[in-house]
Amino acid sequence: MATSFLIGGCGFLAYFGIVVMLLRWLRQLAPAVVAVGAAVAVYGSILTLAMLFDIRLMFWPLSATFWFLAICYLMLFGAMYKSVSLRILCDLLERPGRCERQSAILARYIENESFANRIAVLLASSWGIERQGGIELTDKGRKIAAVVGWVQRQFRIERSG
Amino acid sequence: MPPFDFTASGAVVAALAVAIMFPAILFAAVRQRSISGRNALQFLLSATFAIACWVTASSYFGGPFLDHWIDWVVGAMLLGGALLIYLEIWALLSRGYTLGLMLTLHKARSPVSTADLARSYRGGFGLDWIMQHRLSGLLATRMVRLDGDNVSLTRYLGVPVACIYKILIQIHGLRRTG
Repeated sequence: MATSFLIGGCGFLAYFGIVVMLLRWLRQLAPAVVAVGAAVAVYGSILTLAMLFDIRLMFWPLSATFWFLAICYLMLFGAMYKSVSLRILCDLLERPGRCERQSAILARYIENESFANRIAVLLASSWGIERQGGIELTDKGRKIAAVVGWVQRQFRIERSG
Repeated sequence: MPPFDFTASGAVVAALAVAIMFPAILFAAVRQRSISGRNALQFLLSATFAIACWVTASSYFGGPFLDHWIDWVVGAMLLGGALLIYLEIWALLSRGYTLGLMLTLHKARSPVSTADLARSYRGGFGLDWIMQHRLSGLLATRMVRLDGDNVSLTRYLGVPVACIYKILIQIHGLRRTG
């Protein structure tokens, strides 16, 4: 039992190290894809190595330890990578007196950088396309939006954003 | 002989069952009028109910905590992990910025200029809504304070959190965030 917990914990540490390295090497891939893909790959490697070296392990303690730590880390990673609130805090840290006007944050970050990033993601993922001086969803984008809209209606989520 | 022992304790089986049932619990919770429209509270109450169900089921099928505490720890990690995944999906559905833009474009049904998209975001509230929404969260958690139109980091909470965030970005070598 203790070996299974230990291997799950060590597996997570290896995963963390691999993500930090891969994020620097695989700049062309989306960081979220790298982080999630590496978790699956490391978990698969642990199971494969255990089978190859015939190490007797308890599946549930091993899996629970690895995935609980990995999911906690992925939550933190998601917040770090995409949180608007944390980005506002970080921007304020670099301003003189750690202070700025609301309107300046709105104009510089929300209306320009963050908004432009989201539009770029829509276009790069082929969910949206530029047409007639504007943007519209592709068929793939419409399907995703329709599914998301349906799930939101089932769970009475009125709006997102 | 396979190297893995797949034996699952009562606490583990209960955790898996509750994790599978969680969308149904949430589905019922959002239909309670008293918490209608309060997405964070709906999730919190559903998660609390799910944990209570797991504790009850584990006590019944898995034995007392003191005798089987390792099984309880494994079950808690499984259920905790599942709830975190559901929380991420819930946050994306209720707070997702990019998804919000997609839904605005979906409703438009014809090409929309970026200026119109910004104006019509979140049913016509515009991008200013994001600023006000995130700022109200930061004010409520005392990470920032407001002095007229000026927003500033609080010394004992805002500055340390922003510093930790900056260090984590550097460790991960992320170029673009937010």
